[in-house]
Amino acid sequence: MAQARTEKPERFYLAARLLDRQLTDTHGVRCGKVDDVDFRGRVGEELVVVALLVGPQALLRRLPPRLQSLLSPLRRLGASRIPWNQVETLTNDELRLRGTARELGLDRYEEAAARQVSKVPLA
Amino acid sequence: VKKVAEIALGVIAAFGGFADIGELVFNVQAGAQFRYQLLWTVVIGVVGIVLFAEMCGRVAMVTKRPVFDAIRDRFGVGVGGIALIGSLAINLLTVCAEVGGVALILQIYFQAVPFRILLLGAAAGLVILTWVLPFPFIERLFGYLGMFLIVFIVAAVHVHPNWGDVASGFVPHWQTGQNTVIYWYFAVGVIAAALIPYEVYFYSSGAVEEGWKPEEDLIVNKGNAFLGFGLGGVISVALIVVSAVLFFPRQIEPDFIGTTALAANVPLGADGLLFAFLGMLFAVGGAAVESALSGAYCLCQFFGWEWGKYRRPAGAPRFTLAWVIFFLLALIVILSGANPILITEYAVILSVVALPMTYLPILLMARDRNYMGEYANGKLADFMGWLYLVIISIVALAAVPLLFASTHGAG
Repeated sequence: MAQARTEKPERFYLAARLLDRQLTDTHGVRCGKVDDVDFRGRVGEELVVVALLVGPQALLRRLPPRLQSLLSPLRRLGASRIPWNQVETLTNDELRLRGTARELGLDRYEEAAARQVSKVPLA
Repeated sequence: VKKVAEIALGVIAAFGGFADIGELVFNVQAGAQFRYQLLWTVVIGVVGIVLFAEMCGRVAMVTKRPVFDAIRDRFGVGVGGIALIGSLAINLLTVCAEVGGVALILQIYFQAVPFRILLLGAAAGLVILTWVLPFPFIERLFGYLGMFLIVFIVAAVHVHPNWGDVASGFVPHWQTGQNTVIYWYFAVGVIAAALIPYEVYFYSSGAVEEGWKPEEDLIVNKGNAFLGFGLGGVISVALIVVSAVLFFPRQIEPDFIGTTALAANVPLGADGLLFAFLGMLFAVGGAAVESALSGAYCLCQFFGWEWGKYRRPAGAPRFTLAWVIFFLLALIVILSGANPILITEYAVILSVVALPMTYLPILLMARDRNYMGEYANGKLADFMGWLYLVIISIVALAAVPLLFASTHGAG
């Protein structure tokens, strides 16, 4: 029990520092938010952050079960997995990543939208 | 000198951009039905928007987090997501009301042209302007030209109201007996019209767009919020006063936007009508652009997508598509025959229902010394912030029951 008491606040602190933080790529372009975090380890052991998850599939996991099933078609939009070693800096404002959004697989929908918008003059 | 000019230009833009279709509908109807009795509600609404805008601007400036960034940060995806969905729905209603409102205003001078043609022209014009103009131009073009609404202040003086009666209207008045429900419906409506939240989403995003820095721009933020929005409240007061003098004695119910223009036309002649037309056109047109952009800001900030008018349209493509879709949906809704005035009433009343969910995270962030450091709320700002949370919550709880009990003000 004593061990659990000391671990619980640390876990919450980590979640608060990472979850819902703005992600920017190496050029400072906004490329999503941290929708979920992937840990390695078990209760009672040291927990290590392995990756950040970004995308509807990861986001849905944090919603109440009823809402999850209602929005389940959005799961197929998937989620990108950003290995923790790709995080360059972590501040109160954002998580700056080492690669570009394209290299990290975070530009799929942005690119698709850009193709449509670019068809219009003066875009 | 440069800073003073910057503050003055910002104040003018905030002043001219303050009023929109909500004020033109609710305040004019409030004056026509209850004379000066609801003037006190303008003060409640204007002080609220000044506080909210000042906090939003300060939070955005210090933390670089505009409203929906802060909401997700504070409330997470569950509650934050509910706030997002509610705000997007209300934003869409607001864009419908404002785009439809522009077409209705154009009808004042172009009565021979079918409404749908005016609507298509208005929507096309607004989309093109939003596409090509950078942020400061959008803010200032509509803000400066919206200053033509000063004609209603001139008209209010020109109709020689009994100033003693006007002053007594600023004392809160507890209506009982006949028309109680309608009185309180309009009280909520006038407060909600001043507090309509797209203005603060736009304002706080603008603080990030324009790269405000706390050490330099704190004074710009205070100037815009206190002076700009505060003076904008004078136009709101003028709309009630002129309507009280002209429409109340004749029992005219100003259900058409053209009737609002008459409030300047009757005392000031053809020039008054022209100025009212231009002021309303640019104020409501600006509100249409700001509310469409606000919807896109909310969406992109919540999901962390690239956003901003400082980028070219293709530089923030999901943001661009979002505001274009807002305009398209609004066009479809109004083309389908929906009444823009009725939509305005629903948009204004429902917006105040969702307001506490967007106001609270901003208040929490503005007073948090971990985030804000020396720029956190002082004692007075904190007291006023909590007081307004209570006021906004009461207004929010009362809004929907009053909407239905009064059959949206029809009695």
